[in-house]
Amino acid sequence: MKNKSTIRALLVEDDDADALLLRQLVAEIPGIKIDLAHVGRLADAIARLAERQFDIVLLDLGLPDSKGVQTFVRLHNVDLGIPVWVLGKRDETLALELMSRGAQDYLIKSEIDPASLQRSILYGIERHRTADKRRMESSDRAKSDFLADLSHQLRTPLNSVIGFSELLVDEKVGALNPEQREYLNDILASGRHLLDLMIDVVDLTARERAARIEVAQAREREDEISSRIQQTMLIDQPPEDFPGVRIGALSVPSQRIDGDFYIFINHRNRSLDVIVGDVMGKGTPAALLAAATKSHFLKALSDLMAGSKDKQLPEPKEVAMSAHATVVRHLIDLESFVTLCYARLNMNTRTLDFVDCGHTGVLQWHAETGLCETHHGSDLPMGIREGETYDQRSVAFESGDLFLLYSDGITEARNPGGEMFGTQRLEDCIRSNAQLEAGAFVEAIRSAVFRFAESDRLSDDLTCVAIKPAPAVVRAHMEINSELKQLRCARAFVREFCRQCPEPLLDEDRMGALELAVTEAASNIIIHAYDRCANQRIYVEAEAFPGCVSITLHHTGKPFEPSPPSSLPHASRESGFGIYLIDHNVDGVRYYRDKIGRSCIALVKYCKP
Amino acid sequence: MDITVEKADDVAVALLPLEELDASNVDELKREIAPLLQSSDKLVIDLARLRFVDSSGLGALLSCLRQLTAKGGDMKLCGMSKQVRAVFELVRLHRIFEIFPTPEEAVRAFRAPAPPSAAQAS
Repeated sequence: MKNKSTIRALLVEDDDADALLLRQLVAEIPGIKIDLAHVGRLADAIARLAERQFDIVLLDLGLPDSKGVQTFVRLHNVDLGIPVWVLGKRDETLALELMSRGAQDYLIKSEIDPASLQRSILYGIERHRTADKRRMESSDRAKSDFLADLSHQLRTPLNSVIGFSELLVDEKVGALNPEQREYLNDILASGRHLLDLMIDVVDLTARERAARIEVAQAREREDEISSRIQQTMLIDQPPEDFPGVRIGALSVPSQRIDGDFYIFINHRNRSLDVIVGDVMGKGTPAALLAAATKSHFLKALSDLMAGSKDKQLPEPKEVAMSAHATVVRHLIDLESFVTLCYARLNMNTRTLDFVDCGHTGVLQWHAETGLCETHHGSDLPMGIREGETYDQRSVAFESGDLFLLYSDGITEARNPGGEMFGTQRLEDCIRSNAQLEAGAFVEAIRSAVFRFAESDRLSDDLTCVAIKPAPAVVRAHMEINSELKQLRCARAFVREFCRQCPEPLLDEDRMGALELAVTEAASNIIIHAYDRCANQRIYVEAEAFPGCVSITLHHTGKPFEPSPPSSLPHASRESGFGIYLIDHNVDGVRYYRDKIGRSCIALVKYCKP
Repeated sequence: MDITVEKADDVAVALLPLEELDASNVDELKREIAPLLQSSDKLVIDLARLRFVDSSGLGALLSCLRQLTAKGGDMKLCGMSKQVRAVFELVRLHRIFEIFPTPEEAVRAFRAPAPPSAAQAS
């Protein structure tokens, strides 16, 4: 009960209407979050109290298996340490009796509102905690008082024994024969030994009390720190304003504190890094490791970026390798490891590039087919082997698709029957809800898992991030023959498309640049892919997204993917500028094969720098 | 393609009638301009009408320059639009060609002693 932000409550109420009303009231309480579990019978309540952790109980006295004050007494006796609020009709006598028996408060059902409920609960919890502390302190005091008293009572006769033995041994009252001296020395030694033991016992009690207080204080500090760590360091807010993408994120810790984490890094609105990780273990140690792993990733990324000659963004696999190198020794020493998935949503090429280190993989829902696909990496978790290198995979997305990165807390959530939620159910859930906006989507996943588990609390952290690239705002397409003289038609189409987009997306210069790239790409297709064969077709598709325009050329000629020239071709050559011009006039180029086997060149141009 | 040519002293100023120069009409350009390259040593090509040029267009202009310099002549360009200029600068051909805003300035440049030529700096 040390974390002020989430209170675990058990509601014991057999009337469904009343229960619903109370749930509503509790949900509306400002400033505190209450996880409410609900049972309808006293027997169930007692069972739940015995096996689960609750902070407070809300109790209706009239239950099918118990009525009146007895209901309270029987429940309260299960665990005197949990404060109980009793709910009922207006009845002063009953209220007073319940308070005298130890109820925290008596609430009149028809007169509760969220604000007064909040006050009552918060004050009650505080009062209970103070009473608890005082009770503990007074029991400690009683114990040490008793021991001090006892030791005082024992000391007096002991002092007699020791004192008189010393007198005799020193022959102050007469000479001793060797045997008498030997026996007297034994008596003296035993007496002194007894005295030492007693001193130790009293001393021990005092020390024990001091230690117990220190431990309680330390635990309180630790919980406070843990929850602050969680709130400020581990739970990132997903970016609201990344153009063309909507992100939904879900984080439900099992205990107060998580080993799960996620990070979002926005690279100048061109690409978005999402890292979802899971540290083995629970509680504060896991959270601290998660925070450390996070910061090592950020440092690796910034070091690689600073050291890069041409300001190129380091690939996820490079960042993962570098971050791993700095943490692996620590993880091995702490006997822990971290599974994670580092994904980069690349808007230039409209791909998701990712590294999967022993994590659950990336789920992709395809808008066009309605099917779910799982993409797995094959890398080990972090902290297993030093010098580990990572592989990166790249998958393309169409607009309307959805990516899901998640932790195994979702697929391994169990229902009362012991069954696991599993990947099949998760895929079904995705298919049913993928139309929703990203935030609503993750909420749908959350309620599906909790509904399946039939519980308000799960044994493992629940984490997931949903990424939804926005659909195209405008689309158009046309076809040309594979003749060079049709190049101007393709250019005219691009110009016309850009001009009739709802907002003025591309300015003149950018439009000109896109026209040039399209011309060069189409020329290459006609000359190289089709070997100047004039009776073939090139399909040109244009899409406008928030922030950029994408032109894709599809052909059925020889596929070619030119190795990019790293520098400007020498001007002594009269050709060869083509690829260079494409690369330097658009922001993203991707060569790929589409679903019907055509070779494609996708060109993406941003509206703003 | 009708290339109008004016003479200013011994400099031939040719106005390119094309708005767009790409792979589809470079061959035609090379054919049409060949006689001019034969007959002149000093040529100015006015690109005032040109709105679009691609890599093959650049290549064609380069080839013209080469043919002239091979026989001791020279070629200058003028009247470039912003978009065309951008492409030249991207591939650094603005260091190979001398580019002027107007035909008059280009012609005048033939008369003045040549500055340390960018053509030698390739």
